[in-house]
Parts: sequence; structure tokens; C-alpha cells
Amino acid sequence: MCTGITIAWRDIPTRLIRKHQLDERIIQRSETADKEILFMQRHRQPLLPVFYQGELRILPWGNRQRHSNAPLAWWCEVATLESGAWSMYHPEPVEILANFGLERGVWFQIREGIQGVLIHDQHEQPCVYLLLQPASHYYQVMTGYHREPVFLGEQI
Amino acid sequence: MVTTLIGHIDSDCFYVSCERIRSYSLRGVPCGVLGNQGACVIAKSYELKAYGVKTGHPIWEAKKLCPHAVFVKRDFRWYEVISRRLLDLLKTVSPLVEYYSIDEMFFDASELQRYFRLPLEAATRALQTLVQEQIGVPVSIGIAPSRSLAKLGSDAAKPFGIQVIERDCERFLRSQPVGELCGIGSRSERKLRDRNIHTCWDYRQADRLLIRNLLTIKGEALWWELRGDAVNPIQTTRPPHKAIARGGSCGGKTMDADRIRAWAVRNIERLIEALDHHRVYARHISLQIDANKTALWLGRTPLAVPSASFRMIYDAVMPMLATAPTTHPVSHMHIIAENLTWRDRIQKSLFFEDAQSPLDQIKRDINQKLGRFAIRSAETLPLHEIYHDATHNYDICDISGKMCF
Repeated sequence: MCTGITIAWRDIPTRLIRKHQLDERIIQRSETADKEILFMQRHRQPLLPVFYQGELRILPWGNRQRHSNAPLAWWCEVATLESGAWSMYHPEPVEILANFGLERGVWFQIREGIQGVLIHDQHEQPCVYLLLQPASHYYQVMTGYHREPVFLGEQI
Repeated sequence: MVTTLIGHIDSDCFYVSCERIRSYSLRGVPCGVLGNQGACVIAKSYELKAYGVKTGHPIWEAKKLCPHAVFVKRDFRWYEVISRRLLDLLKTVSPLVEYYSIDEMFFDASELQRYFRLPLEAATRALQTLVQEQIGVPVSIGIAPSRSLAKLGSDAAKPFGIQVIERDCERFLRSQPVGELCGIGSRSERKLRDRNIHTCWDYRQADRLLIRNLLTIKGEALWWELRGDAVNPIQTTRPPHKAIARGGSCGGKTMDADRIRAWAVRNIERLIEALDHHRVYARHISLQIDANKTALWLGRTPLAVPSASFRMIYDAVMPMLATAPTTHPVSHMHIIAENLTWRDRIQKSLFFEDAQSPLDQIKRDINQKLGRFAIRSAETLPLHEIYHDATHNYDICDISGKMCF
């Protein structure tokens, strides 16, 4: 699965950068490139930039807290969602903002974003999961992985 | 038309520049464009080049050399849109433009000073700025009395430079190795080196007859061009093709007879599409089968009448395919239409079917309306990865009207 994304630093409002201490996650690929904010699954507090209820929010990426009743995962398969296995969580579709994605060491471009699923646990805490699907031939050759995120407005 | 000044405009890392037009986030980023399969780098930005990544490098090597590089899926249709915009812009500045390749054009630069109302060097810089502002692509420009000198100039000016070359340009030509000349390959370079000809200046100063004996009439044409005599004019329309080929990778090596046959049929369908586009018929059909890019087998069959009929080409290709050796796995295949003739210049035959049957025409009409390969031969069904996966479309960079490739 996609283990990291970045978004342009200028696309995130300053108040959100301050609130979530995103300054620590700033990277720059070259001296002339734009600054980006890195969101990695391996971060101590994994987060994702998400459009939810008409505004940009920074929300927890998946769940790794055993005391929460949300699924202990980072992603959700489209097939699982369609089977109704997550219906008890009342999943809501959300758009995850991203310029670039990382899969098995390969950074690739994301034009519009990634489809995600948002649920709330028993404490009303939100968790966002990447929606995954079987990888296209192209994606599989490019990254060497057999599943890919559901991209908005394109198929890689 | 004789021109006194020829310009050569060459886009810098064209595919990446096209991607940067629509994705601001790619600017300044080490970036590679991947080919049809997603495995090989077919274009790279200067930032990526600085890490040692070369065109043709597989992605697993490229990511090791530059772990923070970003890779982009190719989109040839977009690149064609930008290329045609560049062509249209150039036509407003110059009375004669040659659409040499997707990212390179020759043009008559004699009007450049009058158009911009500036001295030549400043006018060239103004053209470069105009292209950058209106198209969004950085270009390098060479201006010279001949096209070989102009191309040499733009190549030397890369990236994002200009080079105006006078007729007497000893210093510049001394700085250019002879291998930089368009038309001098490694074999020609070796022959020249044996005669102590290392730089473009040495080439220009060499005896004309010696060059002609070594490199034929094409080498002599280059010799004249380096002296500033334009012997290769700007061509505004493409001369008729001598041959048209369709083929390429078979999506990995295979010995499966059904898949090899399916690739042959798909390539026949692509070839007929090209013959339709160029309004020509073929008199001969050749089949080339490669193992690891080394020609394994080549067959050639004459057609009874000039044709672009699926049935006739199929009947020519399949017996050749049947006699091809089956000992090596096939990696590439090409089907080549040769001895072409214009469609409106053929004599109809009393004894053979028309050059295209009603079925061919129906197939073409439906595919033009509904998209390529909407109707295709059932023999191509074993290529399930192509038809069941929209991303695996073996997109082809096939732009009509350009001179090379």
C-alpha cells in the first residue's frame, strides 16, 4: 500500500501547520523545488490532510490504538467496503489531498488526490483509511506492489 | 525558398517540461517520465540527470540513484498538444517552419530581427522568452547560416541558452567534437578519428573529396553546411514514407504461439490504421521478430495488388510467422509495409478483391467513432492484459507531419 504522501507546503493553511506541528515534516527535494509536507505511515503520529465536511483538516491516519474499536489498519479494500463489512462504523467517503505518493521506495505523482474512508470510534475520534484496489499493470510494474490507492480522477 | 538564416529550436527535457506546465509541484523536482510499461525512464529532468539517471534506466536503478525523485506516467497526447502549440507559435514568427520532431523545429530566422525589432541576438532571446511565457516550455535556440550549424548551436547552448553562429565560427567549431554533429554516428566518428579529424573545425578544414569518400554524399553535405552553405533546405511538408512499420515490445518474452499470433494481429491492425492515415497502400509486407532486440528472423512477402486490407496483410504475415524459428522467446515484433503507393494512383484489378473490403471500412468507421480497437480481431484476445486494463494501452508517440522517426 501507499506508505507516504506529500502535499505542497503552500497548500496547507498556517494555522493547521502550527496546530499539528507540521513544520517538523517539511521536506524539499531540491533547492529550487517547492517545500512539501510529508505524511508517513511510520510517523509517531500518522496523519493525513483530508477534505471533510467542506474544509481541509489534518486527521489521524488509520488506527493503531488497541483501546479504540476502529479497525487496526491503515487502509480499507474497496471490496471489503462494498461487502458491507465496515457498515457498523458508518464509513464516510473523504478526499485525501496529495501531490506525490510513496510506494516501495518509488515516489509517483498524484494529480488530484486519493479516495479515503473516514470512520469514528467509540470516543467519536475520527480515523481516515486509504481506499485500496488491485493495482493496474502499470502501477504494479512501477512500484512492484499488487495493490494501489483509489486515485481521484485518474488511473495510474 | 532560399533562406539566409536558419534557426533551430530545441525544447529542454520536453516531456518533463510538458508535465511541469500542468503540475506546478513538479518544478525544481528531480523528475522522470516512465514509458509504456512503467518500467523505464524515457525522459528526465536536469535535476534527475545530475544524479546519473539516464534515459532507458529501469526504475529500480533510477530510484537507487535518486531516492527522492518523482516518477510520472507518460501522456503522449498531452505532449503532442504542447508540441503543436509550439509549432503554431513559431509559425507566427517565421515564414517557414519544419516540424522536425516532437520537441525540435527548424525555422527561417531571416525575419526574426524585423519581427521583434531587435538585433539578432536580442531577437533570439525575445523568441525564447515568448515561448517560455506563452507555451511554458524552456527552449534552447541556435541561429546559423545552415541547419547543421543551427542544430549544433542549440545543442551546445542547452539548457535554456541561445547561440548565434556566424559564417566564420572557428572558435565555436573547435570546441565541438565531431560526434556532436547530427548524422555522424559512432562508426563515422571512428573513421574520422583515424584521419585525425576530431573536432567540427577539423571536419570543415578537411579535404572535401576525402570526406565524400569516407562518408558519401551525406558527409559532404555536412561539410558544406559546416562552412555555412545551406545545402539542406527547410522542409515544410513531410516527404512520402518509404516504409511504415508498427510493432515494438511483446510485453515481455514469450514462446506462447497464441500470444505471438495475437501480437502479430494487433500490429497488423495498427499498421492498417497508419496506412489509412497516410492514404497509402503497401506492395510488400515484412515481418521482423526479435529476441532481446536482436533480429531473430526476417521475412518479406509481395502482395498480389497494392493493399491495406486486413485479410490480405493477414494472409501475408501468418505464413511468415509459421515458418519463423520457435527456439527463442520472442521479445519484440515489427510488421513493415514497404513499396508504398498513393491510394489515388493505383490501377484497380479485375481479378483480386479491392484494396480495402467493406469490412475494413466498417471497422475503421466504428473505431474512429468509438475509439481505437473498439472493434478488433478476436485473435488478439490472448492479450488480456491490454484489453482488461485501461492503463496498459501501449500508447504510441505517433505524431503525423513531423520529419524524423
